[in-house]
Amino acid sequence: MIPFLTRRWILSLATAVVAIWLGLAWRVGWIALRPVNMYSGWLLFALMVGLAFFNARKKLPFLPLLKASTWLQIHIYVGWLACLIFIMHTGLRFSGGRLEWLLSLGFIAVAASGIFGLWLSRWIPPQLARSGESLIYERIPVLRHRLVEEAKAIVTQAEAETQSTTLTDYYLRVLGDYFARQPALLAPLAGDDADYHRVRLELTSLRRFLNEREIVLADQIGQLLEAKRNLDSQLAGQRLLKLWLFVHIPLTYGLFVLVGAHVWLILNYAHRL
Amino acid sequence: MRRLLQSIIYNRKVYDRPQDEWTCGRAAEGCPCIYGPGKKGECRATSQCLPAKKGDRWVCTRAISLGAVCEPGPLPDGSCGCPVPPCRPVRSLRAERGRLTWLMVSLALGVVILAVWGETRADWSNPGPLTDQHAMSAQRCADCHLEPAGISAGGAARQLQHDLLCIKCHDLGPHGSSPHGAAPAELLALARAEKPPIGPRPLVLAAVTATGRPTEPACAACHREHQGHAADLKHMGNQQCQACHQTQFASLAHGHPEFTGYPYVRRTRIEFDHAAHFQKHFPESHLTTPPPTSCAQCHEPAMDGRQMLVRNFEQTCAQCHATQIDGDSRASAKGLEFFRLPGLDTAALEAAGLGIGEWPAYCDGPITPFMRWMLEGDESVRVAMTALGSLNLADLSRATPAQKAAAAQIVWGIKGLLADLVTQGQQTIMNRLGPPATRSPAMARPTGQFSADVALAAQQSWLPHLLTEVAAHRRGEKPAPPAPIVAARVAEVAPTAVVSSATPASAASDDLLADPTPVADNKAAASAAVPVAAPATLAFAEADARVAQGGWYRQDESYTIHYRPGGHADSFLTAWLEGTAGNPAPAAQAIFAQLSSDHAQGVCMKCHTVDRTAAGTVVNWQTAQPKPGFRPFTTFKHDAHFSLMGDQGCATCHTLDVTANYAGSFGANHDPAVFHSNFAPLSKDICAACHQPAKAGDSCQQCHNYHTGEMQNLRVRAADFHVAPELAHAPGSSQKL
Repeated sequence: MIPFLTRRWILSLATAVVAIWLGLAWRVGWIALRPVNMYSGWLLFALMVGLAFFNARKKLPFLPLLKASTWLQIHIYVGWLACLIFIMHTGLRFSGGRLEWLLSLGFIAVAASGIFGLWLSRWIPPQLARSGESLIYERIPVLRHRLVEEAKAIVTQAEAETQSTTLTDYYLRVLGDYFARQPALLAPLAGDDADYHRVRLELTSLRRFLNEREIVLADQIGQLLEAKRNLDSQLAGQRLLKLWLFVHIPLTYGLFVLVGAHVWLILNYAHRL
Repeated sequence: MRRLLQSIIYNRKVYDRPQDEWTCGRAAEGCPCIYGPGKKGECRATSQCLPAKKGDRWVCTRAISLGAVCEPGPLPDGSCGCPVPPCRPVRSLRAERGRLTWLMVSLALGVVILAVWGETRADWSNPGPLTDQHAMSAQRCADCHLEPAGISAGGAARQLQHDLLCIKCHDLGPHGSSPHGAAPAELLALARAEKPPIGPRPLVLAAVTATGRPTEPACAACHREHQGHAADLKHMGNQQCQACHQTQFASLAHGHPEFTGYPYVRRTRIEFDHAAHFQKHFPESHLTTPPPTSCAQCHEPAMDGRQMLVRNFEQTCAQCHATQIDGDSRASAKGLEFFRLPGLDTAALEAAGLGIGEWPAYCDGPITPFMRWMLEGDESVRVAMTALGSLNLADLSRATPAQKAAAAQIVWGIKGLLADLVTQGQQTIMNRLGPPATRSPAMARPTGQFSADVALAAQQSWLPHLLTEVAAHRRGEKPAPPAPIVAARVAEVAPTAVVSSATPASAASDDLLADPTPVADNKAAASAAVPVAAPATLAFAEADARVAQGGWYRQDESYTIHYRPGGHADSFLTAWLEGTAGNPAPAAQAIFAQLSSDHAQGVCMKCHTVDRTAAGTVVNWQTAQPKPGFRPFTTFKHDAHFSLMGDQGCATCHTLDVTANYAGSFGANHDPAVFHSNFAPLSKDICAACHQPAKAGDSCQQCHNYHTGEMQNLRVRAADFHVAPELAHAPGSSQKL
């Protein structure tokens, strides 16, 4: 198997070679007064169809059409090429036509969301792997519920065994809210860990008022806090990895509709094809 | 030790269905049911298990992941003892994303419907604002685009149809769609003359790939509309210009072909030898005002700053050359001979029995070229002149009877011409030039305000019985025997001169016109024709001196009527020179030769030149003038360069070449393309010194036009659209987008 870095170098180099070749061909065609905008437009359309097929490929797992990871690599590097063709096609001049403006804006949004998603997919998973146990996103609510139940059981046990309400009060005052709270949407980007440290600091400062048994139970609560911290980290990271697709995919399909209208207008009104 | 939250024990795992459209409503609470919602989002949970009957007892079948066998166990009727209250399923993330996708597609479809079929479709489908000039002229899409229904062809046919829509407003001449407006044969010749590709590789590649229709590139190949109000429709890259050229180069400084004769390619319209004037005439002249010391004294920029024009005659040449034109400095005759009674061998005619009526005995000289032209206006005289051939009317001793008869016919023609000039005046000249429809436009006013009174005075002096004789001849009667004529001697006493326009007819002339009865006595007639004899203390000036400002006069010694030019741009001379320059008829060429000789009165052709090209013959009365409808291939803006001139002024670029054979460009040469300027041709290095990318720029379009030639109708003809028939009847051409 080719190492990741080697593969990245090879694919980046291949993409750069193709990009340079396309740039030269476009330049020569432009000098030769050929309809390079028409050529670049059709090429961009073909690339967009190819890129969109990545999503369709995921819905057709039964077809022997390469591995999804291979498709992802193709999607990434062809996406970069599509951005280059887009720049050639428009010259980054947005002349003010409403449809053309929407079209350009749509493409930029799709490309930007794709680049953002690529960055997230390269940045968040290592963070999640470092933060603790890897969790399945759909099971996170169940796990949080289990943590809450365990925390309740510990403070109930502490009150029953020690006749002290210190931990119970702590739960009612701090822990209940903490376990019920979900991380903010962009918490992974903001590095939002303040809640955990606040709760943990309060638990630590509480230890001087606890007896030996309560300290043992408080340590168990500390383990639950650590688990909740990982849970929040997994939830926030995985949620972000899913939510960027809420921009990328709907905009892609909307963009295709606009592209269809654009092609129709060009075919009907262009002075030369 | 880190606490693991997920169980990896197979039978403790809950089966998740993230691909499903719906998820359990209790999943967020951490306790989803094991069944999950139905496909339509209905809750399917009723109990935690379906108890099984073993023997006569119901046993719990709850899954281990849910806690295995429950404590209450199944109810006696076999239902689950742990019923699950129904929840409200929620959509999965994937389903929400799908809904958002459909929403986005719907929005985009709405936009498309607006763009294609909506009331504001023009605003939506318009890819961008038009340039100001097109925004004002184009009212609808179909003015510049074929309507969708009219498009059936692609490629070249589509391009041609759209180009026709462009040409509908922009008339670029007969080869408007051809590169530089050149004819295909011309392009082919140019292509053969060019060198093979030697330029930068991208240009060579571009030249190879430009396999479209190089002879007719689409308008849209260069002019890209819908780029905004202020877009430059004419913008072209330097390399794009060279895509068609076989000789390619990197820049003006590197590779651009050296100038050949620029800008002195065409011969100047006025023959003015700068070298001779600056080196010889100006230093030697004794003018009342100093001679020119700078170019600006004779030249000024045109309104658009491009061309350098020559100031008018009065501001430039008049100081030295006005007297030459007026004739004041001439030693010979100041007026040119318009009419003459030619020398005639009357004895030979009388011996042959050919009556010609009276004719002065001392006539001499040939028929003037003007007379010849006007006589040829009479068919019978023209035939007679042909029959006479080269014989001289003054010596008919060797003439055949037929030639003598022809000579007599010519004499009667001359007498008839004079009689007509006397009685009809200027109209006679006009009539003799032919019908107005066949007359050259230059000959609209060829009479030079001819004075019939001068002719009348001449007739009365030379041929007193002319009117009755001509009248009788035209009636077919034989003329009476001629009486002796002594009028010429009378004229010596009182020669007559008449200023062309203002001189009123004398009372005697009026009387004669009123009563054409011939005067019986020649002496009496002559007396009546001349003014009353002046007192002995007064003397007549010379006839030509009395019309120093120009006009008509007669000279009885030579039996001639003269015209003296009235200064620069004399209408008589300009009309006859222009009218005869391109006329191949011998009579016309004789007039042109007379007027254009170096010693001709007015000396017009000393400075003004004649261009004879395939397009015709033109007398250059004006110096080079801006032509608004003409676009040259190379253009230069003089006024933009004034501030860049060095101490040498215009000579920074225009240096005299004293060795050039400037005079050889004129004289017998009438081809304006043959020219030896007395300025050295400009070198490319002069321009390239400043015109570099980092300085003044070296764009091709700074100096060259693509569309060249006469374009009188380049401006939009809003009221004069000519739609090609195939377009006018194209389906959908009348639809409004």
